[in-house]
Amino acid sequence: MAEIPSCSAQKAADSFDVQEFIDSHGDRLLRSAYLLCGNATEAQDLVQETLIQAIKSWRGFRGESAPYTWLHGILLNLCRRYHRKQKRLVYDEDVVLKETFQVDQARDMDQDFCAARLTKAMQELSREHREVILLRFYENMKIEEIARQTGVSSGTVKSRLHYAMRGLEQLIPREMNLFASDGTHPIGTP
Amino acid sequence: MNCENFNDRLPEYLDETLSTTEQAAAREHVQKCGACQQAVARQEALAKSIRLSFNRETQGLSLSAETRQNILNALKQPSLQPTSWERLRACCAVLWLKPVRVGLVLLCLLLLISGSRFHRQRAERSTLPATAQAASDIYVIDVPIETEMHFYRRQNNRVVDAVVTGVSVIDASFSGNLSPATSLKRHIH
Ligand SMILES: [Zn+2]
Repeated sequence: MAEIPSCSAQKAADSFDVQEFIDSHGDRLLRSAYLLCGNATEAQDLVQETLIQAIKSWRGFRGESAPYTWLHGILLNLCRRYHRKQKRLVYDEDVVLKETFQVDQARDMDQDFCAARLTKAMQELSREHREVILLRFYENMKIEEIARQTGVSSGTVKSRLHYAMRGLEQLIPREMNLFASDGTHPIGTP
Repeated sequence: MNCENFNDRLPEYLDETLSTTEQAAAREHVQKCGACQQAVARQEALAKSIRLSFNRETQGLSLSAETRQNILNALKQPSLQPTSWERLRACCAVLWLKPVRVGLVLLCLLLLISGSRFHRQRAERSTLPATAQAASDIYVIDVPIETEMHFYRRQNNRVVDAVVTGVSVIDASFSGNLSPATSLKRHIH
């Protein structure tokens, strides 16, 4: 088992088990990556790079946040780069999505389909809006935590969240009734 | 507190991160105001539904055996063993965010880098052929701001690594015959 030596007395206890580190964070990170990039294969690659980079720079981890939060910060940076590269491809995919949706509209909108549609809609949001939705609703972060994680003010986070939600409302058709399964409000209906 | 104020503070109200006074004022308002009660209920329902959808969509995903193996293999690569430069960088990361110290740290780092390069070159020049010498060296190259965090890939046994944010430093190890600058550019762009 690969063990990482430490460089200071304070971190002397942190030579850790790599396998255990991967076990405790890998799957959760992968799911987050999938929601960010919308592609299962790329998500595996992104998490692979995230974990390699993290384990290599483990001694730089200051323990000011939870290890997972630190890992997620690395993942966000890698995804930002990935999306810059993939932009063209993502837009092309959007067109296809919208077209197929017209055909599918009459079909029964079950929860799996709605879940898939929401994930696709995420890819149609801007990078900033996608990040804020993910951090808020999947990573369950408070506004101030999102602000720290993305390096902007709380005000900016709130504004992004507001517009991101509006974006989702526009992207997901009302008749899809995303939230009806809970006996609550369809998206887009106050 | 009125409805407009309440709506402005709704996310923090749900987070319970308002000041004690504001949190109390917000609670007092929402208890009396039907419209704001609805706004709270809607926010909570939206959050719950999005969470549900995300969980449903990702529940079947887990890290593949191949990815796990790739990670372990990458960490076993000799080129990925922590170098003295990496150790220094990791320790210095503690200081990066303290603006007053950054200048000092940067200066020390530059002195150390130039010192170690000089030392290494002197040590290696006599014993290694030119390509091997290039392969074992550490390169510090300025890159554009937009690449401040690098997505790097391993191709065969060539590895490009960049972890430092804000400061344009790349720490790269190479083997192979390409000149380091060429193959590095190939990875970045
Ligand atoms: Zn009100």
